[in-house]
Amino acid sequence: MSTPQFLTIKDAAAALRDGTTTSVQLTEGILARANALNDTLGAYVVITDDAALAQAAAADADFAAGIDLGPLQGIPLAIKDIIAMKGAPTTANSHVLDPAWGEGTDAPVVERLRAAGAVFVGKSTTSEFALGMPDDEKRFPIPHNPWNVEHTAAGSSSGTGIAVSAGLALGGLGTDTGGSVRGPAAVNGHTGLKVTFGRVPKSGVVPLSWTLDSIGPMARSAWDCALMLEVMAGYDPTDPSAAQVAVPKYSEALTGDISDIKMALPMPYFFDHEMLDPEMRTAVLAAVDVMTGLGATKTETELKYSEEAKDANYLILVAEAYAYHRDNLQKRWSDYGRFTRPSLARGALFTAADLSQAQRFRTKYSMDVAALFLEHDVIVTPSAAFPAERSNAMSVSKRLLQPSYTGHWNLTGLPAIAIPVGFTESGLPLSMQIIGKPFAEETVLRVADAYQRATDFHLQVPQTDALETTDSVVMA
Amino acid sequence: MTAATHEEIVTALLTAAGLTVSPEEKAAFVSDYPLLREDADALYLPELEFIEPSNKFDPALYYPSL
Repeated sequence: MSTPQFLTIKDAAAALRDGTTTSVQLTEGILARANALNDTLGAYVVITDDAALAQAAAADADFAAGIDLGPLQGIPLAIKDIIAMKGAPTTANSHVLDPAWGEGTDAPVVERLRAAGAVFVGKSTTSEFALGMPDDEKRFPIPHNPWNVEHTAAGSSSGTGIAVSAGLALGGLGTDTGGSVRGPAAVNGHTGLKVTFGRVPKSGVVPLSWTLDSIGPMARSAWDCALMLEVMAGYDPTDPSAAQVAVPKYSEALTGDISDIKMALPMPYFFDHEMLDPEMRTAVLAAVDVMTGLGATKTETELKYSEEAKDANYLILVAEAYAYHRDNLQKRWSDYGRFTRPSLARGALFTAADLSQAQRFRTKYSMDVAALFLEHDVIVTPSAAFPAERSNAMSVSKRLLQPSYTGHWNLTGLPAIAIPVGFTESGLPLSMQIIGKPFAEETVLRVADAYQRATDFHLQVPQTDALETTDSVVMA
Repeated sequence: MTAATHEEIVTALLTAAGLTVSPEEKAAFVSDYPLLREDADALYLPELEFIEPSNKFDPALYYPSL
């Protein structure tokens, strides 16, 4: 994989230091691809060409002056458009959000990346308010999966997922409340880490659900996610939920050795659900075999009430989201997208007692998961029940009936990484999820990295030559 | 519970919430409501009798000098 736009962050960082390339060259290549493909793929709401090139030039100047801010210096990243970033509007892909929201400010996580010398390619597409589905009645880009543009890029961090997959950024930020980092990483064929609740300060982000939201790194490899998290993580007083827990050097934990790792595979629901795609199940179990071949051990086990856990996460999410949007839903119903407004309004169909009960269930399920972790280091599941669905087959109602494997770990606040483990016969990515104990990002990254040392699914890239257009589309 | 009752419940909840939805949207809410209600009801487990909610409130948080 010699094309610079498809380098891992780790390899690009090395190339920037050995003189193989410069940040300006790397960024120009990324910007050219982003502008050529954005009309077709819908990865970015806005591409900040000039600012990105200025950041890249500054990074190169620092290199020339002997200043090294770390492995993200000069690396082009995508920033999800519900996260405040200086020099670009934050829209949340919505006509409802006040255009002045976050204006002229960096969210703490963006500020940290900027201080580390990263280059921001632009604001990447999100499902509206991190909840809706693409809506062609609104002015925002429609995200498409680079592996097959008739299939979904998933959500809500669709744009960052597309950007990493298609070489329109080397990494980026997503947010995850029920699977919005891991879903796009899974269907777009790369790596995405949902962090422990409180690990990364979430101030400066348009909230979806205060007790479930998190910001996570999305990149080609687990190693790259580790490099990003080293910069992103840590306490910030502007987020009441931010944890005062020391930030380890995550990349130093990636030894390739997982001979001490005990994996739990909760079979009912996560592997034996009647709606689980057989190719997904086979690929994940094959990946587990790879890890046992590397010395990890596995136990097939059970995690009771996992169907209910999906529903509890959803109930809390829509109840909190509805509280945030209630006034605007009353006054500006039709300004919301046609898939967003019914999703948010479902929060009005539950009772206050339902929310309290969901929080009681949250305690119980967290205790059960913690009990499982007494004997194991990680839990392994598929990242999703299906590969990317056809976009025209998706609906808000249909989602209620489908199993989901990600919200459980928002409900329990645990770190969970999605990594590629193969492809369907039709060429769509398949993905495995590795879950760890609170603040055990080192462990899930180590396990994921060990798997990625033994395989190359995460390095596969979609063929996008036929998708390029000559007209760049940069939306304001 | 009959479909008509679901419609009455949904109508009342949307009205109480001050939401003005289209007939098509209302039909979707009514159609989805039984499953949403079933999912919420499933969380009222007997095992939770002695379990407290996971939301935590710390009154001292607002008194930094304490």
